[in-house]
Amino acid sequence: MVRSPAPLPEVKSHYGDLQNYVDGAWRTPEADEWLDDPNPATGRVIARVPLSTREDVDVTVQAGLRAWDAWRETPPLDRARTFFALRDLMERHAEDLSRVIVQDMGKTIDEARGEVRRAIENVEVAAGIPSLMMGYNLEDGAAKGIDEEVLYQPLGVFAGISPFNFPVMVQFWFWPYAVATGNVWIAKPSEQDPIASQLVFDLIHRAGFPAGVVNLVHGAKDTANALIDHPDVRGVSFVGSSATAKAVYARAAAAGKRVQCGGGAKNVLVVMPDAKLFTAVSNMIASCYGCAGERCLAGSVVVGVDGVHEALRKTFGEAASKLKVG
Amino acid sequence: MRRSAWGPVISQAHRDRVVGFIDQGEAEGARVALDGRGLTVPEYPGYFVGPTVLDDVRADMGVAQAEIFGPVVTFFEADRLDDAIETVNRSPYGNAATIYTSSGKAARDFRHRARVGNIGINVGVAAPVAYFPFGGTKDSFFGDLHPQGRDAIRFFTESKVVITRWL
Repeated sequence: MVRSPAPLPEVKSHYGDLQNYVDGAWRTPEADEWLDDPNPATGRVIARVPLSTREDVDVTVQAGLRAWDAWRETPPLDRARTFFALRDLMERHAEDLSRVIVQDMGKTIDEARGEVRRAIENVEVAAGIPSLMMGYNLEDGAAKGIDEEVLYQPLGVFAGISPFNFPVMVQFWFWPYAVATGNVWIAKPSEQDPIASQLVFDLIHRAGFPAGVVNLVHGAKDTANALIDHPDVRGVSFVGSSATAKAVYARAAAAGKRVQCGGGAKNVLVVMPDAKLFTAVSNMIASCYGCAGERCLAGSVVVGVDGVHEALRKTFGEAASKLKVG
Repeated sequence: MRRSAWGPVISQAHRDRVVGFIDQGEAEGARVALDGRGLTVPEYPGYFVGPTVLDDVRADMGVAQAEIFGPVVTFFEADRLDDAIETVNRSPYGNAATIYTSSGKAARDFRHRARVGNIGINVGVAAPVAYFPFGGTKDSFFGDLHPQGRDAIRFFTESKVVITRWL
């Protein structure tokens, strides 16, 4: 863990008033409430984020609905080509994206590069949609002379609500698959670090997704609820705290929607007496302290089994106290 | 912006919350073996908490169960693997768990019995790659189809069955 002497340049020192991306264009929402967005390392405000209203959300859903018919009729291979284009753009701009994540979220540059890599990998996998989306059939499956088959079809407008700890990656767990299968998407990133989404949507625009297919609305809880409650939003993907995940699940399910909600964690690392202690501890340090512990896969409980505890706490304590901060 | 191994947490409110958990652990009788509360970083007046270890933690302490979401690690001691697996399984959360071992039998036992969605065997961050689903169970996931991979394809599509007889 060596500190490099040269500071990394900021991509920009201020990003101004953030905008929504709706129907293929940047748009200032009707929102009359805005939040300051600070760089967590300095406390200095580097952008203002709008809290989009129910009307802003409705305008976005209507744009999605208008785009959906043509997008679902676009052959899967053509949809895949748009993802190939996005993949190349993301590779070219990966370093800028990573630096904005550092600036707005506070993780280290290596962690930010890892996050962007994970996002790109989901684009790469979604580009395989012609194979991934194939159905299956059986000749004479129903009876002699009667064939049976399954088709997989998109449902319409989906919304994704994501947390601050991975401002780019978590949206990419969802939207490439939603859009590649022929749905349209509305992203609502965390209001605590929304700047990277501006860069991502600039790349989405340049990749050639048709207007209205992938949309961005900024906001906090009320904006999220407006998306969950909108009758034309068919499903919700969410990641956040367990309490909120459960509430979102119940709210969306009660409205008859598809819903998947990731919550919190308290992950246990068990160390057996026959573990290779030195390599285990360096691996554990990365797990527990990477991203300052703000990961839902971070180790946070260490259990030493059967006599390994003393050696473990000593080795772990020494390694942890050597971490470089700044 | 400097290249470093350590960044701030997301906000002043979150910093206060993480520090509050360390205070709470201390009050509950845990030993603060490494204390990140007083960390300050020259040139960067932001929201820092340093690496922290809470040792001698007991299962009944609040810090043993709560998600702290910061650089705070709690240490337990267990006599047997069974007890360690019990520590995993009594948690309300079910995202990930890891075992460090050279024993295939212990690893297999852990994989089979630990009630979490992502298992690491000598891997500290069991993060599924894009073509596998991101697991999770209990209070760590609400729903059935997970993010990424084939689960995501199913989540975003409707299965339509067609039965055909040509006359």
